[in-house]
Order: sequence, then structure tokens, then C-alpha cells
Amino acid sequence: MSTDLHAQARTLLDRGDAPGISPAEQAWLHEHLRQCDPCRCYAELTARAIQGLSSFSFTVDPGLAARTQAALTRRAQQMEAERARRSMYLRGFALACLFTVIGSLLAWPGWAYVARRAQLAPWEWQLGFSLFWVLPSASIAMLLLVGMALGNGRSNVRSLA
Amino acid sequence: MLAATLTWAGFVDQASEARTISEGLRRRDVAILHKLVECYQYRLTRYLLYLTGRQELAEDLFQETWLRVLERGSQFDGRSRFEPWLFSIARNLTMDHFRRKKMISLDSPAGAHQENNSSSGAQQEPLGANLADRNRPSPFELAARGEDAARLAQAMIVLAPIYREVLVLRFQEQLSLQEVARVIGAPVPTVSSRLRRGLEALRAHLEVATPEGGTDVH
Repeated sequence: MSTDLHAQARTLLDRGDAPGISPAEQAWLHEHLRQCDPCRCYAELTARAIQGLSSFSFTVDPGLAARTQAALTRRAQQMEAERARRSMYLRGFALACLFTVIGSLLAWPGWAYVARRAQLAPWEWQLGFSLFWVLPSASIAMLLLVGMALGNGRSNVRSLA
Repeated sequence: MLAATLTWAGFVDQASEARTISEGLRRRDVAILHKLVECYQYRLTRYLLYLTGRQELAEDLFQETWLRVLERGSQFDGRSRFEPWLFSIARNLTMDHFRRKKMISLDSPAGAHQENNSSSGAQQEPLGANLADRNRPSPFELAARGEDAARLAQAMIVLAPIYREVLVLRFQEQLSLQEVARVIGAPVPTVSSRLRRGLEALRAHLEVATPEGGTDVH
């Protein structure tokens, strides 16, 4: 019998992959094991090793599942609170942006009218409009964005810890 | 099997089970997670014990794994079985843990020496050596029931984790070679080779007890 045949039989045995072995291969292996004592011994030892592994009975701390479930509940609540906070910041940011744009569009003619009545130069009232109207509203939007980013950073640190 | 405990929800086949889990994880449904923890507590702990060889560490990593499942649950698409995904998370966390501790690398210590005859990981200490040096019995010795298992427990102590993990994934978790390959992030031939080397080590320990069973190839 050639060494290749023994090697082939042992490769099939080591795979332990009965469904992955074709019926022809299974029949061949069966026949080979019937005729070859060393390979049969090899098959028996392999089966004993696999059965031996299956007979290991590890002790699992009975409280482990409960502790893990409690940790999961806490973390899920924490994540939900973070999600709600992020969503609040995001909505605030969107509203601030909206108010900045729409408010500016609506207020612009009013400022122009008052500036004409007060006989201000265009650069004067436009600077005032930028400083006292656009800038505060844009700053609020930016602060909300920064708050959201800081919150994300904190939650990442918490989850790493 | 999860299906056995979740029959109330009508999860009959594995595909629908995986889909249900996927949807639950995407919604961050804590009830589904609690059931999964119960279902997989023994199997996941056993896998982590095979990987780390330490009870306390395995339990810590067990908790970390489930927290990671909660956080990354949306990444499980439900198109394949849940087990390989779960075990790959546990494995990555274990690798991260050992990298942080700079104690061992699952892929490079004694295992790599045996597998590739490479000496690049010479500075790293194999986990098996840690287990063998300890005064108290290893989890494998504690878990051994019967004569063969006691001998195998001795083999497990000195066997590199990369071999222990393919043995548990293939023969205890009943994952296919392809699924094992996905969990450990290695090609199927590497998995086959590690299985062969792992079984070789176990057979050698059993053979010592039964010397009449020669296995020489003609």
C-alpha cells in the first residue's frame, strides 16, 4: 500500500468533517480502515481524542450570566441616554442653522430699512448685522456641534474603560 | 441551541434564527441579548478557556464580548450563523487583551514556532508555559472526566492556544472548516494544518498510555 493512501486516509480522519467527505471517499476510507491496521489504530486514537475533548466538563460561575446581563442592561441604558442626548444636540444644531438662515433672510430688509432711516453707510449696518445677528446665532449652532462632539468623546472613553 | 430556547418566538431554522438575532441586535433589544447570554454562556466560556487557559480571564472576556456584541450588534447581518461571528469577537478581544498585556500573541508564540519554525516571536512567552508553571490545576485538569480526558488535559496544558482553539471550534462547536477559518481569520489549509498538529499532540498523549497501538505508516 502506498504512503500516499495512508496520508490521504489520515487527512480525511483529521478533518473530522463527515458531511464534507463525499460518499465515494467515505466508502474508500471505510474499506482502507478495514484493511490497514495502523490507520485503523490512528482512527481509533483520533476518535478517542475527540471524545476525550467532549468529555471535558468546565465549571461556569453560576452568577456569570446574571452579572453579564446586568452589565448589558446598564450599558444599553447608557447608550440609549447617549443616543437621546446626541439627537437633542443634533436637533438643536439643525434648528440654530435654520434660524440663522431664515432669520437672516427675514431680518435683512428690516435692518436695511432702519439703516436708511438712520443714514448709515452700507458697510456699517452690514457689519452690525453680521456681529449682532448672524454671529450669535451661528455661534449657538457651533456650540451645539462642539457639545455633541465632546459628548461622543466622553462616551468613547467610557466604553473603552 | 438558541432555537431550543427561543421556540416561543417560532425560530425554526438557522436562517430565521440568525435573522431574528440580527434584527434584535440592530434594535439593541436587551431581552434577546439576555437570552443569547444564557444560551451561549457555557460554549463561549469554554472557547475562552481554551484560548486563555484561565478561568478569571475567560469570565472577564466573556462579559467584554457581550458588551461588544451590544455595541457592534448592527454589524451582524444575519446572513451567516451567529456562532462564528460571536467567537470571532471573543477572539479579537482576547488578542487585544494579550497585546495590551504584552504577554503572548496567539498567532506567534510557541504555536508559530511549531507551525512555521520561525524564531521571530522568541521574546514572547507561550501561554502553555504559564499554565504549566502554575501551582493550582489548570481548567483542563479540573474539567477532565475519565482517564483519557485526564491525559488530554495534560496535553492541553502544553499545547499552544492556536491549536487548542481550532480543536474546540471544530470538534466541540462543530463549526465547519470554512467557519473556523472565518473566526480565526486564516485560510482553510492553515486551519486543516492546525487541526492536524493539535490532534497529533493529543494522540501522542493517548498513545503513551496504549503503546501497543502503533501508528507507523507502512
